[in-house]
Amino acid sequence: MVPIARRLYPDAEEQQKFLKRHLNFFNAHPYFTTFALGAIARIEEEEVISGNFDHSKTDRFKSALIGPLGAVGDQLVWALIKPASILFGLAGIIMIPDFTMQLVFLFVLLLMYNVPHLYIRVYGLYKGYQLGFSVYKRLSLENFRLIRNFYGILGALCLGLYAGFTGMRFINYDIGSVLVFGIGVVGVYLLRRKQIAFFIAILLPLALGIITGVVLESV
Amino acid sequence: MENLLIGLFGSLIALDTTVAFQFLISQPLIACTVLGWILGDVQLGLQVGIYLQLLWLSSLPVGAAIIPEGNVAAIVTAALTIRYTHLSYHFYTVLVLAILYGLLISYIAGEAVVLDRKLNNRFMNRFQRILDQGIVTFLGRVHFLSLSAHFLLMFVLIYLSLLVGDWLFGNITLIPASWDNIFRYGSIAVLGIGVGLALPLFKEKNYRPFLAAGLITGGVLFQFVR
Repeated sequence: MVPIARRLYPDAEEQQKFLKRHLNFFNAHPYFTTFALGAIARIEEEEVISGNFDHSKTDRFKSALIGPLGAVGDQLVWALIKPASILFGLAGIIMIPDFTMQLVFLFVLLLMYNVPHLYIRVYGLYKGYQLGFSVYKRLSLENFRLIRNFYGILGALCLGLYAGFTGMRFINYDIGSVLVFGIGVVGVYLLRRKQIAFFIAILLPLALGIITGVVLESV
Repeated sequence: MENLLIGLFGSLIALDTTVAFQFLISQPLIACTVLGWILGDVQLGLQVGIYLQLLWLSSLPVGAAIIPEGNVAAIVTAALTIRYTHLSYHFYTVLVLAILYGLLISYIAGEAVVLDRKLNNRFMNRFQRILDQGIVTFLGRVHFLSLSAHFLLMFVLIYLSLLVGDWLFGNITLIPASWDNIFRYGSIAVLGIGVGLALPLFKEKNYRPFLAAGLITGGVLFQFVR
């Protein structure tokens, strides 16, 4: 907000007032905050140009944006683009034995994540500034349907590839390995579905896997 | 000296998780590979990253939620695994014990974030007071202070975790070599747990056919690749 303050208010005291107004609580998805940043810049600029100031309206607008920005960002980036990009890299790495190619997959993974990441940041700033108060209309998952479908399908496909490839590796190794792999998958899935705490949900199947190992080794 | 280097690298990487860049370089798959390169075994680093990657993936940093700091834990786990696998050659024993230790570190680091937020709150209150005096330029310094505090906090955590880890893993050679096969099953369970944790992310009905298609294709591809 500092560059906006400097651009709109040459006077230091006015800048101070502007920054104080914008120091209130604001929490949203970090990439999607640019939508709010652009919109606020536009609204503040329009107020300065028209000389018609209504700061409480701007504050209410900012508060109203917190929910949609967080909801869309969390569902799109944290729950979809991030895991799908990582699973793409992971599936490629385990399926291709050549180390150089594995490093290439790491690089591609970073590209797959950061291209939409940077696009959202830049697009958000541009759209926010273009639309002002109307920016909230853009903040729906429906408006990101293409990205959502692409990464959703990619993530599901790569998770399947990873699980199928790893599972088949253990089937070819010995039956005990498949059993333990299955205990891990099903155990943690069921425990998390029952809202069991994260650490317990991991430790229980892990302990069960090790105990199965002890039994199999002693037989 | 090596612990200092790992601490510096880890705390720099930790900035990527939430407070700064957020380019995904802090994810275990990438961070462990780079750490492996620093410690002289890049392939082992990548291998450890594969085991750790899915463990913390489903913990989403939604709102102000406190989630386990998997990326910091991955640095400690990878460092200990690389170091003690080279000493003992009991890869699976070291890996599974380091993962268990890493889970504890991820919990502690998650709680440390609370302290970090309290510090940020203090910095902001100070900024408010300074702003009242008419000094606008202090905001850049507040950001720098906040980043530095996070960096320092994570550095101390990683460095101390490595010191305690060295003490715990120092006698790893006392564990019989025959146990390595038992721990191999533990490492397989970790891979399974990773898949089980990632499954709910793609539980929507319209993704299920793709999940099934991937599963079958993955199994078939294995027969060609092996």
